[in-house]
Amino acid sequence: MPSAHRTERATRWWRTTAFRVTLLHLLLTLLGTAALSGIAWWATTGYALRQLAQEVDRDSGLLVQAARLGGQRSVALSLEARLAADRSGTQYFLLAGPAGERLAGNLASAPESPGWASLRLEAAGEADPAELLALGTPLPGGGFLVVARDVAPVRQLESLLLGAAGWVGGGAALLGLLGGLLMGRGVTRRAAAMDAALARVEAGEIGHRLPIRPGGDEFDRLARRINAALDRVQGLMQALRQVTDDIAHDLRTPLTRLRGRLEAALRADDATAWRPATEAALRDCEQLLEVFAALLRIAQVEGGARRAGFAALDLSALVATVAEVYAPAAEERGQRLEADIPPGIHGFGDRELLTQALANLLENAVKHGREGGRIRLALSPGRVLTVEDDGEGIPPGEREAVLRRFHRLDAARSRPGAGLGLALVAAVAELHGARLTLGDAGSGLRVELALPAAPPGP
Amino acid sequence: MGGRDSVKILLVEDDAETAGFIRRGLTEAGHVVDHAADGPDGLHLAMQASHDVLVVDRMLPRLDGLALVRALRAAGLRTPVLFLTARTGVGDRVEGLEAGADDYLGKPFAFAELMARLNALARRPPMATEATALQVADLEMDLLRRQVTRAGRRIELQPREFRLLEYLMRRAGQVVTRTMLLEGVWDFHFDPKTSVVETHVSRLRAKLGEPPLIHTMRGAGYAIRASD
Repeated sequence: MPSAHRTERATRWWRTTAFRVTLLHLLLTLLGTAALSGIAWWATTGYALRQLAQEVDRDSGLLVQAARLGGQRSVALSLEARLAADRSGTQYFLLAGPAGERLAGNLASAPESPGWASLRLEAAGEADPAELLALGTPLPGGGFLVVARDVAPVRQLESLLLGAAGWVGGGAALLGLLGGLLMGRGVTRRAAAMDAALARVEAGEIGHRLPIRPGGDEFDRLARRINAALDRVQGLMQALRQVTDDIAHDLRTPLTRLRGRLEAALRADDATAWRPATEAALRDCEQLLEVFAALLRIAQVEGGARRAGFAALDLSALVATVAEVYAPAAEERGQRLEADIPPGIHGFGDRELLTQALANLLENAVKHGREGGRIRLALSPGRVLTVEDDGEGIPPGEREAVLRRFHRLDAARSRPGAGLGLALVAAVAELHGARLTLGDAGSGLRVELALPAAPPGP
Repeated sequence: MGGRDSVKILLVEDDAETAGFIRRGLTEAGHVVDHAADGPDGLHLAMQASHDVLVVDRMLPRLDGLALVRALRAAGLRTPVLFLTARTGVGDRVEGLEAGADDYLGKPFAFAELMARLNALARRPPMATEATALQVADLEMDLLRRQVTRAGRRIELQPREFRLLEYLMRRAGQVVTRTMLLEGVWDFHFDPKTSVVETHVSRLRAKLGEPPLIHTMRGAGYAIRASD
């Protein structure tokens, strides 16, 4: 569905993970810068104000000392000298008499009470009133002294800090944005590559796979997992196609025979011919259904759906039961079935499928083994199941082929059978993660099925 | 076969042709057949009238067979149910039996197989009256001591032969098919190509001696009963 794909492409940029990551990155950077600047501002200006207060306090102390030693006159002189020396113009004083009248200094009025105060000084020609930090102290022997300093330098420091914070914040935000964009672009690129690869699979290129970089990050892990899932799906599709082909090829012949039989019966005028013809047709039907059921079962096993039926099981008991079922059938052909099954060997798997696989092997042994011969069935403690007969065996070049559906040895074509028995055994072995080996047993065939100790992984 | 006393059967099957062919066959055998073509009708009929056995297709319109049987069992109806189905995977079979069905038959099936299974279900003795001894003519089976005697003479049987004979004797007079024996005695849910059932039955028959009690019903299966 190309249209569905296009709408996915058109996902708005603000909805992408990349954009969200960038945004979050930026927000965190800004928050961090703001917090750091705040702390710096608080620490620095606080320190400067404390310094200023200490200066005022020290000055005030010296002047009070001067008043005590030399009286108001001495203080007034000292004030004049200080003001003359203050080039920065940040120092302010006031010496008031006992009645509150101004005796000396550059302040117009005094605060009403002693102690710390903040004053505003309206100056002619300046828009902003100067902000002063003032300390008022009553003098010994009457009078009142005010020492004050302009706070402007501290305020300048504050604005400087704010400016710096702004620059740092802006720079960090820019870097954060860049970093986020780069990171986001990486994510977007990887996602787009995966998206494009999956689009090709969707369009029918079932063999196409996602790109995997040698690095092996989480995207590669994800891609590897998706590729494995695609492998599985492809395998299942091939199995299904195989079954369809098999049905088309190998059921056509018996169906043609059935049809011919029924048509011949219809053409015959003699109604007594119908009965045997119908019976023969029914037998054909039976045979067709049998092949059909076997094919479906093999497909089901190959699909892996049967793993749900796996459980711990007593292999000894399972093998003994099948041996017991087939012993009389072997005896009918004069064969001796020798079973060597030690008790208490346990395994893991689908009981029904393992039973059927073993039944198929024994059936083959009874059918293809020498008449009056010997069939050996053994189970080893290592969960290796062995079935041996003394028939003609299978030539080494054919051993691979007999595991495929409908493959029959030339020698066996004259005997009944559809060539599905070993194909099922192979499928069951594969499902169980078991090793299936065909070999020689002197003259006959030796089949080994080695079951693993633990169930196979998914 | 089995027409001595008539059995009342409810058939719930949506395919008209299949339903017609089953109905005709069962009626010819002397049974009474009610038919419903979908799930809700089947449920209604099953709750209204009493039947000896229910034959239910698994895939039904409006209420599938599985849900139908679950509803019947939830309502306390204990009538035996045989599922007919085109789905014969192991998972499907287990699912069907867990829903409360008593037996399971895959489509397509031979009519003789259906007949035999229906007879077995309809005449199954209730659990409460579980027998401790079985008898057919002069053949006696003691289920507690696991001993078999014929005309007072002890017959030694292998454990599996005992189970085979027990399976037949529990259904004395009824036809038991090859598939029923494979499932019931050996727990084989597939069809072996070799004549394993035939050889086991003929060995058991030989051990039981003359006159023969196990009879081969041509094209259908086996039945144990006194010789005519």
